[in-house]
Amino acid sequence: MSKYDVFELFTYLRKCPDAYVQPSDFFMKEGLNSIALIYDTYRMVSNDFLKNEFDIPAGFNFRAIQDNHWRAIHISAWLLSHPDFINCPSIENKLYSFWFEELLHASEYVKYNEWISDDERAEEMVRLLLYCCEIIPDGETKDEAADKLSSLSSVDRHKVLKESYEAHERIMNIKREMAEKKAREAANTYGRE
Amino acid sequence: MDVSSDPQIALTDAERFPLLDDLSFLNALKQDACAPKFNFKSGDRLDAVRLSKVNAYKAQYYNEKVFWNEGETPIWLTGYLEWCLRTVPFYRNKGSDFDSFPTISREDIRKYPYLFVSNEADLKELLVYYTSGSTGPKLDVLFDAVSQASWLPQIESVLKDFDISITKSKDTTAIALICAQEKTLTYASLSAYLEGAGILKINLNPSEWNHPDDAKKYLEKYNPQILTGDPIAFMALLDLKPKLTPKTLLSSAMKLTKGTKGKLEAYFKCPVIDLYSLTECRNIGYASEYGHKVIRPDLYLEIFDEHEDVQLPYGERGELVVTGGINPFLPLIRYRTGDFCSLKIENGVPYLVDLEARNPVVFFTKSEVKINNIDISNRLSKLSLAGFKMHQEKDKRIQFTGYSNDVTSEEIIEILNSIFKNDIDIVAEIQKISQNNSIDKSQYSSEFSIL
Repeated sequence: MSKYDVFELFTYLRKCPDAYVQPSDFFMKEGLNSIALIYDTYRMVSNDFLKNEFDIPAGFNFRAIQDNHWRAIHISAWLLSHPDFINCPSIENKLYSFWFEELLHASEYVKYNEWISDDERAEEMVRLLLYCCEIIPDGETKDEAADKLSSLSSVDRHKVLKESYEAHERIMNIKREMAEKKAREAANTYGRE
Repeated sequence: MDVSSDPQIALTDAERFPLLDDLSFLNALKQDACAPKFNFKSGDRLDAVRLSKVNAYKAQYYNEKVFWNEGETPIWLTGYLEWCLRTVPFYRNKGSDFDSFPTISREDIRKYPYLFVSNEADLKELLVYYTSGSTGPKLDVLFDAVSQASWLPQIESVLKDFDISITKSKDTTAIALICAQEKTLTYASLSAYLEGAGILKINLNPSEWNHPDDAKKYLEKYNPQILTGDPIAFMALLDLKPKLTPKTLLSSAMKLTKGTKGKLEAYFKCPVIDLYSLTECRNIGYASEYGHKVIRPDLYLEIFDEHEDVQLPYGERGELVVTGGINPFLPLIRYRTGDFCSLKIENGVPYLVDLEARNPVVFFTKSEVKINNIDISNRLSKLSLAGFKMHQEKDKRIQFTGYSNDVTSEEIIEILNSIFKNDIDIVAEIQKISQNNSIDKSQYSSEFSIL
């Protein structure tokens, strides 16, 4: 099997055990120990099981993370347990931005269970992780990978929809104003045109 | 303005004239014993901010000496293009390279006026009116009070070339727009830019006045500094023999023949200036010895092939295409005007050579010799025709209708025979100009294929 095959990773992600979908212990006493999961994941990808310092800013407030975002991190930890990512130290310093920046934005628009239940969102998480880790999926070029991620991106999709909605709103407002202003006096005309 | 589109909702005087407290001259204009039966009210809508924008527009462009040189583009063009691409929905996804940017047409504006509104345009400033549709289907034109009032500094830059200035004072009538139509909106107004001077829009149609002599008496009493209108209206005015001393007559909307110009100048003893302007971007230039001298440094002009998006070199004749302007509700990029000319630059100032409205039309003698409508315009220009229509039928017969109070159909036939080398059948009719006309712009048409 080729390394970093999107379909393979996608299939693996869809098999995410229920245990990873549990709330964080920040939200529920018997919830998943999120910090331990993050540290374990770091240790697995770096293949250094004695390491205790990882690329997380000092004073980072884990308590500020929302439940939906935590569960997305848990699910991604399952994805990172795939053999392709084990003993892969080059991605260690990429995980912070994946978890706490990219997944943070995406979680604004994606409900945690969709990362597993929805084909497009599952592929989006796989591609987003590979993108953050600067890994080009097997059989694709950099541009193809970027295009495919862009077409799936929940953040981009929301941005497009928002712009489209705003543009539509603007046009409706202009049309309304046109109808209203057409019925009103305009301003002096000074010459013929 | 189309009759059916007359605005129904009136403003208050405070909305019409935010900067003018003293409306006594306006009341005098409206309440004069000889005043017409004004059917509308209008103001310049200029508050302090808008007036400062009009003044800034004048300051920026009034003294501009070099617009651009051959092989160059104006310095503002790159920034303007970027702004349009960023804020005007219609121009999105049309590329970012001006050289390969597609042209747009009147039809685009007619169909999607709202897509030309910049996202930065404040909708509270929006004003709307229809064009009359005299040269095509009706069009909603979106603009604001600033771009509308900028007509005045644009005209000042024309008048500067004639050593004429408008006296700005609250007890003078600065401008009278003269119409001679069946029906049009008429009003008395004031201009804050002209420090409270009076503005009139009047219709010579006798039904608009209480007594037959009132139009003449009224105009003589208020003796406007500048008369604006089209040649038909001016010839109708001439018929009244008013004792007026205008500083100039500004003729637009229709071709002004040399004959009509000469006649008006002889009577009114002032320059009669043939303006070229479009509703979509206001004034562009005025007729001079070398062609129409362009007066707008904020417009970039190009010549394009009529049918394809191919820019033509300087000196080659084609369709005039306009980019620029200050109207945030209708910023233009490569707008096809539907008018034809060639372009030349003299000392950094563009001239439109042999400007003709609308499509060029080729006529044929009976023995198939081609005759260009420009040659016909040039020869007819010597007559005092206020306007005309000329059509060639399938059997090559020419149908000519002219509007004049002194030119005869025999004169027309003689000139056309000379142009067509006596190898043509001509039916010519001359219609008298009255005080209430319904005449479109001069136009050529043919049942043969158009060039």
